[in-house]
Amino acid sequence: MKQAIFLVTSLAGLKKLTFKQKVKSLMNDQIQVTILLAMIQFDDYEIARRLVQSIFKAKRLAQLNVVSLADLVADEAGVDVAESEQFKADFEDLPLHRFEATNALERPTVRYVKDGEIVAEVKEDGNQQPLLKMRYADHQPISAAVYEAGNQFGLLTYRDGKLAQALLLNQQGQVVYRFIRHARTVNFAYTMGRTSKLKFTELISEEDDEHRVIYRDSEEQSSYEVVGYQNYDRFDSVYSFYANLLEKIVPADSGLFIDLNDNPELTPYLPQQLIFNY
Amino acid sequence: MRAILSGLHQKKKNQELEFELIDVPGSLDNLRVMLLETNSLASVTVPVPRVVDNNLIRIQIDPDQLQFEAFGQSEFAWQLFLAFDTADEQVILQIESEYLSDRHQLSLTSYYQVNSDAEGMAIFNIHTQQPEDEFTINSVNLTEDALNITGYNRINGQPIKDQKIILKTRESGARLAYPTAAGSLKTLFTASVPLTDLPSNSIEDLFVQYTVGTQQIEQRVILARSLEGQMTQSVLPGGRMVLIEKNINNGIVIKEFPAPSLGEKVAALPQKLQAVANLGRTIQDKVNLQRMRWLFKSGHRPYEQPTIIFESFGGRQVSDSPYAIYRLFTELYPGFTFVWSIDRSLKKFCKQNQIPYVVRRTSKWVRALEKSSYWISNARFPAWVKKPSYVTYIQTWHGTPLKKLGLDIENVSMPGTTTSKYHDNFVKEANRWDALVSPNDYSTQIFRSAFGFNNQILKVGYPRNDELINTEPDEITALKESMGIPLDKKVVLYAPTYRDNQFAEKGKYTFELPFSLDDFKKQFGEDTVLILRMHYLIANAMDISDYTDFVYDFSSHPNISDLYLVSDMLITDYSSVFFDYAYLKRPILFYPYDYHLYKDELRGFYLDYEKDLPGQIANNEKELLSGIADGLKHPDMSEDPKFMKFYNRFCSIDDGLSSLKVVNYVVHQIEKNG
Repeated sequence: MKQAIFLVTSLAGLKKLTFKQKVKSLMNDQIQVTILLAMIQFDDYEIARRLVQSIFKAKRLAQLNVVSLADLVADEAGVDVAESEQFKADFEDLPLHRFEATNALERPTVRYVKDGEIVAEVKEDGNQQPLLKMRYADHQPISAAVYEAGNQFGLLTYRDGKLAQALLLNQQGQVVYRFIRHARTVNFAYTMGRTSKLKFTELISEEDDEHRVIYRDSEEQSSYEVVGYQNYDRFDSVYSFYANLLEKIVPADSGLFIDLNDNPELTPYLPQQLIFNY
Repeated sequence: MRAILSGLHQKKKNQELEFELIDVPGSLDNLRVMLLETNSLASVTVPVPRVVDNNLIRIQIDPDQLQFEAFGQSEFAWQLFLAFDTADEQVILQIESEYLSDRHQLSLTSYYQVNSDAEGMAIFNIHTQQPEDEFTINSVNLTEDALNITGYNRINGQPIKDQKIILKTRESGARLAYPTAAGSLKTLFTASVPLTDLPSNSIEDLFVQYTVGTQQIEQRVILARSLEGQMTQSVLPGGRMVLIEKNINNGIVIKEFPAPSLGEKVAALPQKLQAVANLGRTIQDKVNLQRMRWLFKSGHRPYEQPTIIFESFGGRQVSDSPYAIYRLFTELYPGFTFVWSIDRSLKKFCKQNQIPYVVRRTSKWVRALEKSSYWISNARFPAWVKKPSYVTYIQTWHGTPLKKLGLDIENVSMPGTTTSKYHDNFVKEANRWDALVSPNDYSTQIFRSAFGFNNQILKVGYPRNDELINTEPDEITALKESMGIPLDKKVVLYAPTYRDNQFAEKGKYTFELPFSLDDFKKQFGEDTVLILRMHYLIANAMDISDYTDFVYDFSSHPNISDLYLVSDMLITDYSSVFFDYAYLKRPILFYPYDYHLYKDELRGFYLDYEKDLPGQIANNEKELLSGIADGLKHPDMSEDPKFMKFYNRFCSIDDGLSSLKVVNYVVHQIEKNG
């Protein structure tokens, strides 16, 4: 293994102790580590980058490569974003309230007020460049635009306060991928021995009479359908999209590391492959 | 539904695994088997093409796919899971097995074996980086007239050609070769050596020779497990005898010598009578145990005067941290009452040294325990020893843990107990301790997780190590003089771990050191001596009579700290002695001569053996000798970054006041409780 690529699909995954341990251990063995931020909630990238900064020491950070989905598609071909889907920043002349960051994980925030209610919020970096612009209606988010170094790379729309669609943009501001959220009820029944190393940190387990560990529940989960605008490829599941992406970007001599929580959904798309989990 | 590993078949280069499914639901979509490596969490997902007869599935895997170069791993343990979707559910099941497969040699230096873990779950084990010069056999037995050996005759399914067993005579170097034949099982060979071929009064080492492709191989024959269950003795006509023994490297040694004469047999009689007496004592002990239980149940009241009971290693010693605490107590608070709980065998020692004692398992002992107000011990008391509510029990424990303990042992294989019983007993006993002495944060964390301990931790360092910190150079000189160690020579201490597989029957074997004393003498003999600290069984079986000018056996010296203090460097392997020795900031060399056999057990270690140690690892005798030379040249490790990293993690409580802190804790309790 000459290099290692860590697929990160949630902030919780990034906070796992096994994530930190694996990265450190590989870096100690002089292996080039790349962290690929692949959350659909694009505004998490900025938080993730700062989390990475807080997890590792400066010496390691200098050798650590952090990239996001946005970086990967920056030079890809796309189509223009329809007028109706563009983010409207028509609140910027409204009265505003500014709040400075009180800790390292926060960002300066500007809130815009109309008729006594907050209608928009902008998070900024140290140079007063926007990172996230979010519009609200009836106290719920309705749409957002996400930025990196002043460039817009993502557009999010919300329904009933939940993310409904996410558009990933290239450097020219054209849409490259569209992620459409569907809610579905998932029933799962996992049964394993107490010695099992397959552990799901986001699920609650119990032990049965025969001392087996059981995860059994029914829960509403988000699934994303993905449309690619280079060739109008369509993926039923975001995991199929991830698998397709990884096959393109992970070189043969590198190790792929995924969150163990993603393993059941992702690995069917990567059969017979040696995959490391964190 | 359940899935059970039911078969294993070689399919060219691949291995076919077969699973039996029980209680199959209506549909199995997206069916796949996921293999998960327990250490690295690597996984491989293999789609299952179809279900045979509604209850059998088969997958093929290439064992090469299950080995990788990352995290310095050379041992791989894969758990197996079956995953599928039904009409309304996502299902994952861990695959069970109660099956232990044959050892399947993949290459000269790797093999795999399928096993089952403590919970009855399947484990696919791959062992790589095995030494090139060793060949593991299956069995070695003596009959009336032959030495019979069986072993595997295939490498990754391919038959080995021209396989021969070679006997090399030690003194003369003569070689005898015997061809192997197909055995009763397809993959096993047998070889038979007529005992009449063995030269008189000879010692033979066993080797194997064969051809793989165009390569001629010769390897030492080894047996990793003990010789238990094998016939290791044969009496030949004409008053001769043959014995099979194992040497320290697990090699097989054959000895031919004259059978004991009648006189020698008579001389051995007292030993046999001793065995009868021992049996009598065992029965008596059992009866006595019932009496002890009854005595503990009767009510007791505490003595008016604070009384402290000390015990070390279940009464087998007067030593370790309890002894260090005791000594300081007698100096500072001679007004309290102190009593040592000891084995009968220590009576004389205590009398000689004016140490007050009670003998364990007597009614006086029960009375002393139950009427005292403090117990200070470095090991567990039996569960049937009742702890009264007014007793404060201080557990010092007996070392920074290296090997996994208590609840951290996933699979307890000890006779007479199960994993869950063992775990329950551990937690029950640990929570009788009111305070537990810890030498460092690493140990604290382990004590919490391994013992399920929820009470007070006294992070004060080990009282027994105070003397390592407080002893002055002139005291070391005096110590050397009293031990008979020459003052003008450097001292190397060798303290290896005792291996359970070293003795099939106690005292039957002569023990050899895993390095040549002649080579040691040649290189260091002029200005260096070697002191040995071995397990008593090994010490009894060792013959160092030819080397008395520079080898000293201190295996039964009562205080191991004395040996640390007088030595300039330590050589050890998997023993936790190095945690204590490191306080001296002197060089430590690791010589794990049977590392590949221990590797599996090292999974059961809290430290990473190859990365976290405070010294170099010597992989062979050559590296051992150069490591000693290097160590003796650099007696002070306080400038060595790797060593100091270890020191700061494990030995940072180095004020030499640990005993005082425990004494103060007890005195404070006495004041508080009146």
